Amino acid sequence: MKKVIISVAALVFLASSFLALSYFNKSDVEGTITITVIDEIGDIVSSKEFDFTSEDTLFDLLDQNFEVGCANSSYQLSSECEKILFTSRVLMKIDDVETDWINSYIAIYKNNEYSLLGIDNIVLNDGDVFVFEYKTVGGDN
Amino acid sequence: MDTKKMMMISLSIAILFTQEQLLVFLPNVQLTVLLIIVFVSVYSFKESIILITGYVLLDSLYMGGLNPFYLVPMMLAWYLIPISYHTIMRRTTNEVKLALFAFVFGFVYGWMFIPFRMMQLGINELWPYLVADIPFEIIMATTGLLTVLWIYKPLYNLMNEVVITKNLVATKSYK
Repeated sequence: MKKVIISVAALVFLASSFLALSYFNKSDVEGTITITVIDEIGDIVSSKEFDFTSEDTLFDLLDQNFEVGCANSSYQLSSECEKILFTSRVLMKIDDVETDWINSYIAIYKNNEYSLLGIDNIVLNDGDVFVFEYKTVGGDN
Repeated sequence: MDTKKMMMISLSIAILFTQEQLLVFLPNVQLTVLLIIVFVSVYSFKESIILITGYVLLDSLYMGGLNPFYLVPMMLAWYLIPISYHTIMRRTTNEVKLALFAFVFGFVYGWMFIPFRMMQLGINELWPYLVADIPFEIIMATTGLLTVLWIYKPLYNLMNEVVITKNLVATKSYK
C-alpha cells in the first residue's frame, strides 16, 4: 500500500510539474519576430522578419524559411529534424552555418539574452528578436 | 577479485550500456539508476567503483569521444551512489529508502553537470541553467523512484542468488 501511495504521489508530482511549466511557457497568439543568423566569422548571413500565429513555433518558422539540420541521437548532423518527446531538438545547421556539436554549436539569443532553452521550448512573443550565432565550444558568450 | 566476479562486472557494464542505448530516444528515462543501485547492493565498494568507472568510460567514449565536460561530472555523479550506499544509506536493502534516494539522486545528477556545462558554453549565470534543467531532473527523479520502488527487490534477490550460487559452486568444486 505504501508503495502504491508513493508511486501515485510521484506521478502526480510529475504531471503537475509539467502542467505548471507549460502554463508559464505560453506563446502570444500572433505577432512578428525577427530572425538573424550569424556565421563563424561573425557576419550576418540573414536577418528577416516573420509573422507567426498560435500554430507556429520557432522551429517551424526556421524550418519553413531556412535549410536546417539537427543532431540525431548520436549528435551527428542529420537533415531529419523529428520532434523529440519531452525535450528539444538540437539545431546544428542553418543554411551554410554548420556546426559539429563537439567543437562548435549554434547559440540562440532571445532579445539579446543567451537562451538556455532548446529551440522547441522557446516561446514566441510579438516583437521578439532571435539571433542564431555560430559559437566555438569554450568561447566567450 | 576472482575471474567470475570480473566476468559478472563486465556483463553488468554491458547490461547498463545496452539498456541506456535502447532507451536513448526517451531523454532521462532509463534504468541506469535502478541497475547501479542493484549492482552496488550486491558488489563490494571497490567492485562498484570499478563497474562505474568502466561504464562511464564506455558511455563517454561512445556518446562524446571521452569529452571531459561529460566524463568528469558523470563519473562524479555515479560515484555518489556507492559512496552514499556504504555511508549514509548504511547498506540498506529497503526499497522505499532506496527509492527516495533515487528520487533525490535524479536532481543531484543534473546539478553535477551545471558547472561543467557553464564552463564549456561560457555561461556566467547559474539560475537560468538551473531552471532550464528542472524538467529533465524531474523526469530522471520520478523514473528512478518508480523503478527502484517496484523493480529493485526482485532484481536484488535474483542478483544475490546468482552471486551466492556461484560462490557455493566455486567452493564445492574447490573442495
